[in-house]
Amino acid sequence: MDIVITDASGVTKAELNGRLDTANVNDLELRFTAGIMPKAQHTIVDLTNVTFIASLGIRMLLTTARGLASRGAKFAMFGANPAVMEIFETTALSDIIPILQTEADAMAEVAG
Amino acid sequence: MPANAQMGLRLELPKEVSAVETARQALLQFIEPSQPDGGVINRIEVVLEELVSNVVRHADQATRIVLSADLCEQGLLLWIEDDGAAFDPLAAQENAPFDTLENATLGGLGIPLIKRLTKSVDYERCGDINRMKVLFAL
Repeated sequence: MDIVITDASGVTKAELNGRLDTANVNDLELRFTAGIMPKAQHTIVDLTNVTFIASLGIRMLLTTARGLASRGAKFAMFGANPAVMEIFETTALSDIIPILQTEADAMAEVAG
Repeated sequence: MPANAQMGLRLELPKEVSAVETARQALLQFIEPSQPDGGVINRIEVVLEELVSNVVRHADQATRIVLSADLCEQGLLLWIEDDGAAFDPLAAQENAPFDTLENATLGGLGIPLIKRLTKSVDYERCGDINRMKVLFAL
């Protein structure tokens, strides 16, 4: 599991690549939160290259979104493939975290 | 199946995180001849992940996991067994559905996922074994 975190116009962008399964989330979670939370700024997550997600991955995303919200920062995701989107919808995560089609949509969501 | 199985898949796994991937690869190979579509495969993978990782992470007294699978008229039957203390994960009360980000409960997502992604899910205690049985339509 690979992660790239960059800063784009004051918005943190995290690009995830691979499977958000048990083994990978165990390895990734600290890097994900440590790369995002200290900045406490609006954040978008690129899921274009995420091929799988289960409950531990959902929990990681939810934890970060809640942490940012408590500091007044917004969190949005984009690019989920149909399989990943089905899990977001099944858990109702998509009811409480914006999941958009494109990076531009996600940027507009957190900027709005 | 799972005792004295003559057909299907049966795989003993160590109680460690690597068991999840080992189980996934074996099950994908087993169901490949049935050519399920990508959505079904993803649901099977998610449920398998939840079932095996639950044992790995929470069944403190368990020493081994057994994955069994078989095809039937209704679809794919999957069993996950462990030798830990008796525990029925289906008996736990589900968390309230997400309504706001602030109120969202962080844990307890796996069992609701299993229930919603399968045709049926059952638990039974057989001697000193916990057995979860799930059915998928293919």
